[in-house]
Amino acid sequence: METRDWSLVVFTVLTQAAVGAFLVLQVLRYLSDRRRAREGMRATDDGPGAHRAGDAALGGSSETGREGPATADERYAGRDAAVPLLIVLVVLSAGLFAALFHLSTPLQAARAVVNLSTSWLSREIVFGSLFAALLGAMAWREWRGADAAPDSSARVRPAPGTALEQCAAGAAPDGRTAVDLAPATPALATWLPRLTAAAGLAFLACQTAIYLLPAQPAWNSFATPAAFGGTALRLGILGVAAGLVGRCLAPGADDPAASPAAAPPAVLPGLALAGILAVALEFVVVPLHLAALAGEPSAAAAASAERLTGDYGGVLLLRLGLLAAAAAALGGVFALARRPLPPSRHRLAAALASGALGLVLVSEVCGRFLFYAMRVRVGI
Amino acid sequence: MSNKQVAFFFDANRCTGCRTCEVACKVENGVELGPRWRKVRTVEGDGDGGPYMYHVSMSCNHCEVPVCAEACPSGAITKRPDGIVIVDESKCIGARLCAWACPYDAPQFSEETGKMEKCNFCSHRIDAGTGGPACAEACPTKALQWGPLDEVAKRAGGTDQFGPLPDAEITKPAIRFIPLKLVRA
Repeated sequence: METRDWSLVVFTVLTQAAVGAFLVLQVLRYLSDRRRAREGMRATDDGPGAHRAGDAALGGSSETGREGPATADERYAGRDAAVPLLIVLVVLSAGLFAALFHLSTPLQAARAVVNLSTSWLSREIVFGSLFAALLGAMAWREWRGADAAPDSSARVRPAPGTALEQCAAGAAPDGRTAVDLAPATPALATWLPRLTAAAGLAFLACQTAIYLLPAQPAWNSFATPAAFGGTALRLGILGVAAGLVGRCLAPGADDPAASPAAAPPAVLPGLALAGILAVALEFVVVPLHLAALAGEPSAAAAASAERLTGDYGGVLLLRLGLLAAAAAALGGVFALARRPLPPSRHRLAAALASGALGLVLVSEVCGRFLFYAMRVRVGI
Repeated sequence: MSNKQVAFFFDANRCTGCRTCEVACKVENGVELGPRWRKVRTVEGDGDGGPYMYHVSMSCNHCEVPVCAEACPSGAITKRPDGIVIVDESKCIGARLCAWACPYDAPQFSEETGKMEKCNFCSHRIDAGTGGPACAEACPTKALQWGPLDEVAKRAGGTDQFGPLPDAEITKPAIRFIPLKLVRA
């Protein structure tokens, strides 16, 4: 692998993590909305101090259309709600910036979108930029919503459950959340996240299509979409899980007065389980890819397999070992979160979740190094 | 400029591996050290008829389906009406995707300029009417020749697919080969 290709390792891993995290946030928000609808939750408290971080922490909109000055708490809630989106945007932007270093003339990077008619790289850059712009718009709406005027009809009530449950459900650390906030522009509030998700998926698809080259047998296989999609899934799930548990360590999160109930968090065990399954996916993909390369008639495929198992066999083992360790840590998160969790164990849950994220991140970098290192062209 | 696709013709039975074609290419186009627009490779093996060895001289094949141009994000690679695939270095941003996409290792990255470059079929000579590609004209054994694809394709024994070459269906290269005929006493 050429030194310059390291920028692509950073680019692909970070941008895939951003797409994955955004999609996971949207799925959680959808599930959260459905659960609320099912439970028939209706706000009862018009109190001005209510937080709207619940929806927004899962990528929702904070357009409220309310009138009058916002309170300090509301401003805090809106900005708190924008934080997950801003983190995703920062990760995405860092990835896109890293891609510049793969070009020999980064100052001419704007030319990369010229050949949209045939070049997947041009399409990738267009959809990546669109994803970033829409993500920025969503975050801006959240931030701006923090300063929006309150609507007298907005009905809010304290969120139920433990601090961890509230955090996992997207509530503010003090246990209050907002529901039933009518958006000022419902169509935009509905379609902006969907458009953003579509742009993210298109970005990921174009990024994958770049590498489906008949001249490169090791890339031109199911393993490329599996690798890119798997990275998005793993880092997306673990990033959100670590973020949600980490929020519980915020000041006031373990205040017994704010979290009197002792029910287990609803979403964290599911996230941990999904993370374990996403990690396990790689243990299926690697042997299948090696078998596919062995079945290819070309010498290039055999040479790629040799690199994976011979020259870089140690890196492959390290990657799988790190994933196994991450799965074990996620098992710990699952075991902790499926039962009522005293605030004193939040720190352990956060350590396990962030540890799993760190292990998977290093493993994904190893995996992406292998991806570029195994490239062997057909022919002579 | 003709609208007929130009092509190379290579006879593996005539090539001695002298690399005169490589030198002629370098000199004609002023290619710096490093990039090699044309390469002579040696293929060795042990087949049913015993050990064999032959040389293959190859550059850009100015393919009918130029996957390099399709992959290039900046539109720096284009195909002329006469089929010659050229790189406009002023538009190249050095993404090097063309090098990944090409099955013949034709696009070459110049560390000196930070741009991709490759065989241009000596288009300046063709445009000026002063001759064809320098490599073919310098070949002492006439192993490497050139002409319109429709004429080259009619030559007896020619194929676009032999030995270790990539599947011709990927790019439909504008070249025809005569593979090595193993003759043993």
